[in-house]
Amino acid sequence: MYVCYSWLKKLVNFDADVNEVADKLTMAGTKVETIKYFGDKINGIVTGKILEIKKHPDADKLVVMQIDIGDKKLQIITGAKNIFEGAIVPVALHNSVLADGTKIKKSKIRGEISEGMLCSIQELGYNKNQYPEAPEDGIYIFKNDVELGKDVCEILELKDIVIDFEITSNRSDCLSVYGIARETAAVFDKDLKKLRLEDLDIEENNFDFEIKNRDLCKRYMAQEIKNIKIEASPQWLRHRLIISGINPVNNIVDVTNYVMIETGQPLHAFDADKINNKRVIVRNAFEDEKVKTLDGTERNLNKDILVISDDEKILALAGIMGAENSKINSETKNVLLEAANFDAYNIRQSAKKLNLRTDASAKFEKEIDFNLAEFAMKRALYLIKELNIGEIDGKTFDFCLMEKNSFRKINLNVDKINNLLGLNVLKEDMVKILEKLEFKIENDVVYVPSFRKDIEGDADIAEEILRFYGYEKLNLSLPKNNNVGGNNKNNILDNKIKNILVAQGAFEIKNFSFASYEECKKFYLGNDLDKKIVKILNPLGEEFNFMRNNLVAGMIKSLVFNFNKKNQARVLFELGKVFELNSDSDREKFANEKKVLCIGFYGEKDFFDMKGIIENLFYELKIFEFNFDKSDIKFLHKHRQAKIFVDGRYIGYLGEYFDEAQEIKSRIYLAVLELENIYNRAFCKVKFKELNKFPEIERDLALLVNKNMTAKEIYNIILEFKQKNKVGILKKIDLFDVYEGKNLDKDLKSMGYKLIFRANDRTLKDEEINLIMENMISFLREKYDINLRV
Amino acid sequence: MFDFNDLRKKFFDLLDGVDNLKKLEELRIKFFGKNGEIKNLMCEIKNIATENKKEFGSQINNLKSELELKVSEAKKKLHDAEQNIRFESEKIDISLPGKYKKLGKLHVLSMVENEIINIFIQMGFEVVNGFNIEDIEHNFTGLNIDEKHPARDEQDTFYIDKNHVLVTATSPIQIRVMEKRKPPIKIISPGTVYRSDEIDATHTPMFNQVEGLLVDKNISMSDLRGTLDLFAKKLFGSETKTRFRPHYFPFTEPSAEMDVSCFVCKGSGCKVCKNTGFIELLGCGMVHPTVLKNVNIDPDEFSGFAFGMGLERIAMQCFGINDIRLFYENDLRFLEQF
Repeated sequence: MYVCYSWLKKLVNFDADVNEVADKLTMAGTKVETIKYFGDKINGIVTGKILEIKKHPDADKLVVMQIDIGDKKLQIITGAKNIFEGAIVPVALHNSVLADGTKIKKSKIRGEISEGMLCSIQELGYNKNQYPEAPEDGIYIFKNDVELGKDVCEILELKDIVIDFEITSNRSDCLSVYGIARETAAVFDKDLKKLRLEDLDIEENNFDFEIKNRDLCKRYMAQEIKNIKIEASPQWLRHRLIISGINPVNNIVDVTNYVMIETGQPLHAFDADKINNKRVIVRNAFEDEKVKTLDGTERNLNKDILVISDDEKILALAGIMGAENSKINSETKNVLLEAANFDAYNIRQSAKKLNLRTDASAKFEKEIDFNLAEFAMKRALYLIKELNIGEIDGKTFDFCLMEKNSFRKINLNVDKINNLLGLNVLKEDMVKILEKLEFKIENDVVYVPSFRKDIEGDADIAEEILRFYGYEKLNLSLPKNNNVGGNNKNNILDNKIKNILVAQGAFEIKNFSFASYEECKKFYLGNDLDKKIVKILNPLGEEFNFMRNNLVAGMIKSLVFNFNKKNQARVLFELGKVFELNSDSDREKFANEKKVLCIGFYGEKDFFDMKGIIENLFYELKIFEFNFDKSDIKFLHKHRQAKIFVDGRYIGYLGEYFDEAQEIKSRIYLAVLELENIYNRAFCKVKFKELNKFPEIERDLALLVNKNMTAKEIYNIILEFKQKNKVGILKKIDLFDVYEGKNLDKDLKSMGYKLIFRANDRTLKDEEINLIMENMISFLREKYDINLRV
Repeated sequence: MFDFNDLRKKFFDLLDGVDNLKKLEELRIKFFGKNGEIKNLMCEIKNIATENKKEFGSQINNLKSELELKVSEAKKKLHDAEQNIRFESEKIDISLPGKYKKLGKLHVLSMVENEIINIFIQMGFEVVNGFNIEDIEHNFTGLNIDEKHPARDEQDTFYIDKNHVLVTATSPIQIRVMEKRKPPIKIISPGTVYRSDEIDATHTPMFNQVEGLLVDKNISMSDLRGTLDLFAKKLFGSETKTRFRPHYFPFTEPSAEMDVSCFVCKGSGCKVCKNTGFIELLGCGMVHPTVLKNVNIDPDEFSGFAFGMGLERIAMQCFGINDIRLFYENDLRFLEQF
């Protein structure tokens, strides 16, 4: 909301500079976004009359002028085309400054002295839309009656300030200069100037009005104005429009815009002679009805859009924009002026549907006070009369469904308000604040004015009081309550997992929860994809059509991204949610949101690095009952993948990513763990085991085994020996080396194990272990034909 | 008196020639060993007149102590010299780079979230997690966002069907907690939220929030200010100043935005705070009576406050990050910095 500073000052006589005004209003809830200065740099530009124009002796395209600036005459050289002897023009003197900060100096141009420069409207900081009388291209030329040697800034009102306020959606009353002025008056404890209004004579008039949709139009006022003289508005009014960001058009249109900015009530002016049979109907458009709006665009309507029509055509899109057919132009003689109250929601939806958001619709969207139509009508008629634009003919039409001048009543509960704020504001101070805001207080009852729809109860009254008492006066107390805080088990486990991975060198990543259909399909391991996939009705694009049902797609994207950036290869992980619709018939929950961990890397590392990361994770989480088993996931390498089980339950998989169309020249490894099944591990109990008093004995065992045998099979064979012979002192079987190739039979591989023996009650003797080893070796040879590598 | 000068001289002459520990040991044995010079001298005592025996003994002991001291001094010196030779031969270039296994890192948003949550946990808040997909009763209606409120428009909110949306704030879980429990309620809810914004340098359709709620008897807006002031001081340092400004939210009344003194310029004005000295940190307010009524909590008996903040915004301001998209690109050059 732009507010012209000089205008605001006319309404409230405060004693502060613009920055103080901005600070105080911000702290009272009307936040200032920006302060913009107009013409603040301009200096030393005055009116001057061109007395004589002569050709420059040494340049074809330049002329030498003699200029009268009142107290003296100057010689100025120019190349401008639109000048003539007798014209009064803006003259930038020696040492003057233009709007953009350019300094003008006396100089010689091709041998002739030039003591300044003539200015265009652009050089004065404005454009032709703002000053329509300015030429398209060339020097600005004043009307003849301007005094010479006068500061151009004063005549054209070039200097001002505009404050841009952020108005919160509950305060439609502040979408107006007058509303801001009301807040300003309350902030500075000054009186708000009353606007001059024209009295209305409300009765039947010459037009025949019909309000067909009374849900969407709660008030409709109209007044005919005859014998209009269309011309430019006076300078002061044009200035206020320009500074407020609206270009002047002509006197009648300017008045409607001016009153809209001033009061917050949009008005519309129809060319009354274009209204067929003097019939005005407020109705819904027909499906596919068409209208050309006054911006020249043909628009296709539907039956939800409210329009103003006569008995044959649409005259306006209610609250949004008029139709071209009844637009005010220089030929207009008679005008019908409308001030109405349309339904905020309908206007917002219609403006959105038509993709046509106007100053008027932006105001109607915010729910305008229905009493404002009358105030604005009175104000517009006053200005029309005052500026002598036309004759106010006959009576004003007023259709009003609401009870005029009604108030919402709220009890003033001083204690409750103070308890809510934690303050001790005196009742008389409360009353004073509320009265400044035009609330009436009688017998501890607050009468809320109709323009304050947002005030519904104690809490709202408390906020009004606090805004002007001062948010900075709130105490810094702490709640007297002694809850014990804490995190929940899922978060605790998530954090634990993240920290374990970080310690292993992994970087946490975050991807959007959105995915394309292909991404959902390719990496989904469940059934009934189409029944379970979560589709977004209004996505931002195809890539974002669905909620992700896996983290793999995002992981691969991130890996490829980093590979292409030539970043050093690192382990990445994401811990996030995946989504599925709950397809159960008695669905209590609409969707399932499951936490999943995904780990990925490319580069030198391989399958066993990934397996190691997971094993390490499990050990740190005190999960010991896990195993890896065969797996057949389509997007993984056929022989480099495994399913992961904890306590016999499937919880995920790992493997080498396989894609024939793979984008990068490096193998990618992935692991996915569904965390829901291990959240009960968040608070696992650890029991201390006593430290060993007796030393361990280590023995190495290098076995030659068939290449097809798995490490797990051999491990189980050694375990079989242990159990059969009750070798309880064999505590650990660690594989430390696998070798195939040179010096070995091509069907064989060598597996090196470190066996660790330990007894809890004695020091083991070598002879004892030697015997076990001999037995083990003959067991392996006799039962499994496995020999030692020698 | 007895003259041991010959012996002493002999000792010192020999000591002069000792240049390693082995020779020193030989010298020690020669003088202090079983048949060493000192021992032999001691044997002489039997030839000494009785009245002089005491004097003789004591002088030998003095000589013995003196020479022993010399030996041990020489030993230390030789030991140090030998050690020094070893040290010299094992000289390294300490300016060579250190060896280490690189740690990974949490995402910067996780770091910021943890920091914020831990402060509130210390202040007695309990962490609850909500859903990403919610029904409109919990996402809008319960929060006093009526059917015609613009926040419900498809331009702002992602819909799954006409009754379900991607959460636009983490507050729906506050409604769920209030439905289930009686006050006192003191919770903090971190979570992912969604708004239908096209991606640019300051917008992403998904971002992260932390919201808090306290409902109990006699909770005032001054309690809210005190709580958040303490929070800001814990997060940004004890000199941090806070400022409440009026604002509007449908679910709180009175509402406020809290600014903190700029942590770059400490309030004197700079580019980061746009010369205001303050940075907008969060939105907050007293829980709207309608919200309490919606969950059957009597607003005449209980009151409460709520607040919410965006993690990306805070991280961007704390670290001077100029593009919100960096959080979701997962470029290691970004991730490694924090």
